[in-house]
Amino acid sequence: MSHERRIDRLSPGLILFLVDQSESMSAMLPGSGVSKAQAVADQINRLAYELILRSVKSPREPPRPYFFVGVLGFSSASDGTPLVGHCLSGPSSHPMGLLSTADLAAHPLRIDHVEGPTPGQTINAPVWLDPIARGGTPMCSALNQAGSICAWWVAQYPDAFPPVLVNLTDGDSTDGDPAVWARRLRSLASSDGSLLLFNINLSERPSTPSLFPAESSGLPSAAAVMLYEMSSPLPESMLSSARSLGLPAQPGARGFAYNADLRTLVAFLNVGTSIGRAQR
Amino acid sequence: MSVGQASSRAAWVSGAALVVIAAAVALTPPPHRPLVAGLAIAGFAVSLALDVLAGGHTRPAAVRAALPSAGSAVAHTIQPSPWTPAPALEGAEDAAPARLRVSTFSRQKVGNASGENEDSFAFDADRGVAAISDGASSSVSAREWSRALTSDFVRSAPAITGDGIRSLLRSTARTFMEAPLDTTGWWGADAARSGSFATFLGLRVSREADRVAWAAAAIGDSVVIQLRVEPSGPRLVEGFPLESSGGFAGTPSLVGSTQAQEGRLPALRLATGSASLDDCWLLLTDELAKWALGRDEAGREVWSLLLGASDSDLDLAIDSALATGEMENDDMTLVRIAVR
Repeated sequence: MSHERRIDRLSPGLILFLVDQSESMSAMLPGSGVSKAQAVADQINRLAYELILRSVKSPREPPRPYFFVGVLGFSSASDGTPLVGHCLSGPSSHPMGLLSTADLAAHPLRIDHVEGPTPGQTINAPVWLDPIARGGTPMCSALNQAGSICAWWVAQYPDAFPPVLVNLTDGDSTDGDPAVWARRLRSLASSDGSLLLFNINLSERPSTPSLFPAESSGLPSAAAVMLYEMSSPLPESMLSSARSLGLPAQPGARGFAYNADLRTLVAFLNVGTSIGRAQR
Repeated sequence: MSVGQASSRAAWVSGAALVVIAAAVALTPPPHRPLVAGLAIAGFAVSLALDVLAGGHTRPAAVRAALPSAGSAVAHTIQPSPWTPAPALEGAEDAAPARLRVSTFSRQKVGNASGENEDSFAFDADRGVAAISDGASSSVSAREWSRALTSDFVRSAPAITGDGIRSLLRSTARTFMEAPLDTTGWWGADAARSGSFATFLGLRVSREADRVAWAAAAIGDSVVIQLRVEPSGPRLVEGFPLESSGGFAGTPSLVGSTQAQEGRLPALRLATGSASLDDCWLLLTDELAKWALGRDEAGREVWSLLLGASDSDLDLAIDSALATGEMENDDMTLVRIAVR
């Protein structure tokens, strides 16, 4: 069985996001009441927060570096030059610019406070990523840079759970055919399995999303089929995680969502980043 | 009551002779193993007889268990009972607690310090109870929570009923969550609020003359294995709540401190069984249990090793299994139990 390796300090987990920061991300995401850029930033902040809590061994100690997180934002300048770079707050001493859960805990951009589950209770909502929406969608440049990071990672941790790469976009690549770069990325592997490349196509309008499809036949466009084919099949542990959330994930289901609204985005990230949970 | 964790490596009281058996059996090609085991155990029986004649009582339970015994029927019921009260267990509650002989082995994950072992165990040999728990590394204070679960069970020695165990877990969680929090950063209180998680398995052994009964309650994939030692070597009688290596999914049910405090628990599983006076029980955390059951399924010797090997021999066997990929790096704990 692949994709079963537990996460610890010797074999940390890498979750790398590619976040489309093109102009169209300023449109509203159905079901969220906020822009697509804001909804994506909120969910990545929430996920980073959860990863930190999962890395706290004792309230008296800083979180442990069990997970490394990176967010590569991609957009373009007014002259069309691709802009790809890390966009989480916090100084990184990591050679690839990643931030560990210990780094993230030490350097949030700010800590907002939101209402907790019980009345009168407020809980921390730390922020590391603010939304940006400008220019084009240089997805190939972003996939290329992600490839450098992930190749370094599997060389450094050849026996760890392989990198999880989540591409969040609402449009077509403006700098080439991303399928080529996706194939190259998926060829990276640790002894525990191949890199997992997942794609979320964010919705332009309220309509039924497609989540974790096992075939491309029902997808409405060539672009959707391409993103489907770029996506890795979900490993058994994630299929099981999806089923535990009541999601209909068939064997062979790909880590792909099309026309995703907020609910789909949240469900997708819960499943697609479910590594190292319930570790003993 | 004895509680162990982390650096606890209490020696299996003597066990030297059984180590010889275990080693001899393990090193013997499979076709000849029953013969070697039989010869070794026969020799062992003689040594035990001499020991008994000399008034010795320090021999490990496994020595007693090595003697052939009349088998007893095993009445085993597994009742997944998330919320409905469980019926009283046949015999187990009426009989007096068995006095036990217990020894333990625990080692932390390779790369961790001994104080980072998140498995825990506890037992009260005179009250017939023992417990094991595996703290979830992905949660805060897993080691402390795991320890609270096992020590509270042994201290209370509750009836193994759905209501009894759920009530105990809730009380343990309340005490745990209400303890003052000492934290150094914004993450401490948030992590504590999200709760600590661990598996739990509690065993109670009762005895009425020569009649022995056991009952166990479990949440998650820490297991109890009942063994019957026969001339050909120890044989698996029952495994609870898992009996095959394929049953370890990697995402077990866990007792959450916040959830238990609020009365929310995953399905609690209960089991009962009868046993012969010479039977043994092993309490194991998941990786060791999965490995042992896998070896047993493949027809490879493992129970003599677990029953009789010294800590250093067990360490060697585990290191070897880790090196060949038969096991994953994890905290590993073994509690060996027999009736005195």
